[in-house]
Amino acid sequence: MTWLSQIAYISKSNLTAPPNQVKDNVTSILRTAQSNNATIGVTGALLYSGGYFCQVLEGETDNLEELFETIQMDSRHKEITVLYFDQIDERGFSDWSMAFAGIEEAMRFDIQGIKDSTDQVAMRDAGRDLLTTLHHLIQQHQGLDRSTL
Amino acid sequence: MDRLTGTLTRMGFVSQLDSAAEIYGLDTLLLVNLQVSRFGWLNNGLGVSLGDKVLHRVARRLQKTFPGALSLGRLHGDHFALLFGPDIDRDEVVERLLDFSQRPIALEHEVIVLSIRIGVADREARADSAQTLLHSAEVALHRAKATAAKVVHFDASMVREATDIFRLENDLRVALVKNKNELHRALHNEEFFLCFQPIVDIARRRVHAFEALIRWRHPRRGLIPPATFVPVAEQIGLMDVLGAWVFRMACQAAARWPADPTGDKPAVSINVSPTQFAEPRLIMAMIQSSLAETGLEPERLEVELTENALASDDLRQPLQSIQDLGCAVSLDDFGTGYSSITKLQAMPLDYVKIDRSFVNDLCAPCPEARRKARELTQAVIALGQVLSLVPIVEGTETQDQVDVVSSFGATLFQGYHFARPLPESELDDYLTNFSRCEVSE
Ligand SMILES: Cc1cc2nc3c(=O)[nH]c(=O)nc-3n(C[C@H](O)[C@H](O)[C@H](O)COP(=O)(O)O)c2cc1C
Repeated sequence: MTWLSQIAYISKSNLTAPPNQVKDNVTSILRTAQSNNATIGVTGALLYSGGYFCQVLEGETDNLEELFETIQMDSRHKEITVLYFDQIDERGFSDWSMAFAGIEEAMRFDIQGIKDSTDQVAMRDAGRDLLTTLHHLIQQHQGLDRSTL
Repeated sequence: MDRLTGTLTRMGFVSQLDSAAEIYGLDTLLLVNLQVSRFGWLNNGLGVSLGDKVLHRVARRLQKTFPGALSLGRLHGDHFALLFGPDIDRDEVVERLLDFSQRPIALEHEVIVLSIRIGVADREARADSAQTLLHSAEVALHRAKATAAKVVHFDASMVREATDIFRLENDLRVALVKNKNELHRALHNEEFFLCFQPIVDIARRRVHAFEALIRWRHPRRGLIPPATFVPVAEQIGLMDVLGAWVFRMACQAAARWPADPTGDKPAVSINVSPTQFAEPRLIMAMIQSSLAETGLEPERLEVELTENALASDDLRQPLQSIQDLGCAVSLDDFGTGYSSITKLQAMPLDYVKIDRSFVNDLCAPCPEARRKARELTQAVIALGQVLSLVPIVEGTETQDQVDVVSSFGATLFQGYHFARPLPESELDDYLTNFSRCEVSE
């Protein structure tokens, strides 16, 4: 039996291009993520919000540790703050190798507050917050996609 | 190759540094030394194997971050070194290093953020050999740690310090070679000798043990304090020879000690360095052969290790084996290291030596400092008692201190109040006098 884990983090984007190019860059990250993740059984969601990446990743613990190591060595972002890294019973995003929750102008989380808190409970709360938000946004997105068809 | 991280060992690194100096010229090279230290380990009490995995991760990150580096080595413990050739942007290297090595590491559901210190040496060090360049980077790193700076570049103001360390290292190598036969056969020699500092039991009014302490008398430079040369010996991998010599000499000495007037013989307490514990089999062999050769009763042998030794390797099993032989294990500098309570609890230990820093302020003039010192000392002793560890109070200098700490339940003391480290020739007198004074009180 291999264990499932989930990790959630927020990082600051290093993408300094104009907005339309940011979109291209994020799309390209997403493409890579979707194809790579599918082969190693990782699922999750990604949001670009006010110059920050918010990502949840889930999968077998070993794969996840490796992938996270790769991602967080990526120079397209920095100042990575992990909100939690836990064992889980069930995936939250089992339908998506990497769901996209969108690009937003304004940051919806109190990043500085999260970073400054050394309190694990506060981090976990922020993580849970992120999880709910991602689910919510993905549903909205799907609705949008369908309505624009 | 270093088995843990797959990078070069110190020796391998130095040899590559040598050839790089030949190929590119010493003054074109950039040498970066770094030490990673752990954050948050105290809270989580991360296991030992996890510590090894972290070091492995760090090595891999360094490899990935600097594919253009000429060499990467783990010099010792959590010290790494990176070597760069000509045409490298020094500032960019440092910047990338600070960035990538401090990104979080996710392992076994723990998130570990490392903090690093960096020492840099390049042509400004005016080094005339690969060794000197390495020392310069080490001195810069040392300075970084001492001043809590993230990065220190070696400059002219540090030259003296660097040459001092270099000389010391050379002298130490010479001394070891010169006394090689004596050291290997555990015989007296001209330069190294042992002193013994008593640990007294004030409840039973006897000398509980003598701690063996190494001394180095350099033919020209005189006495060099162990605090100066032991770290150097550890760094350059010479502590094994010295440590083994101390061990056997101390056991030989202890086997000769007479019984005190109560009929008991004091134990001998011997420091074993973390590098020696890197090969637990060798330690066991050393202990067993020392006991066999000298006929010393196992229960009169106490092995001392520092709290920091617990952090680096999995010592539970080796320590258990030492206890199984009938010897005792004591933890030095208790309260100053990084060990978590869960870890301490899992370790087979008999004694904890309460660090002198706790005792220093017990009778300080400032009531606030005094109160704090007392509460802390009491807490540390209580913690030891919960874990069934017998406290030994180090660094006691006055009767007042003894009175205060004994009211917390401690009975074993060491420090100048009782005696400085003594030459072996004075131990008999000390034994006789100590019990006489104490009994006649
Ligand atoms: C914010 C962010 C999120 C990323 N998420 C993923 C991911 O989920 N899966 C993935 O394989 N790569 C992800 N990447 C990209 C990796 O860092 C890396 O570039 C990629 O795995 C390399 O894949 P390749 O070797 O197939 O090009 C992400 C990068 C960034 C900046």
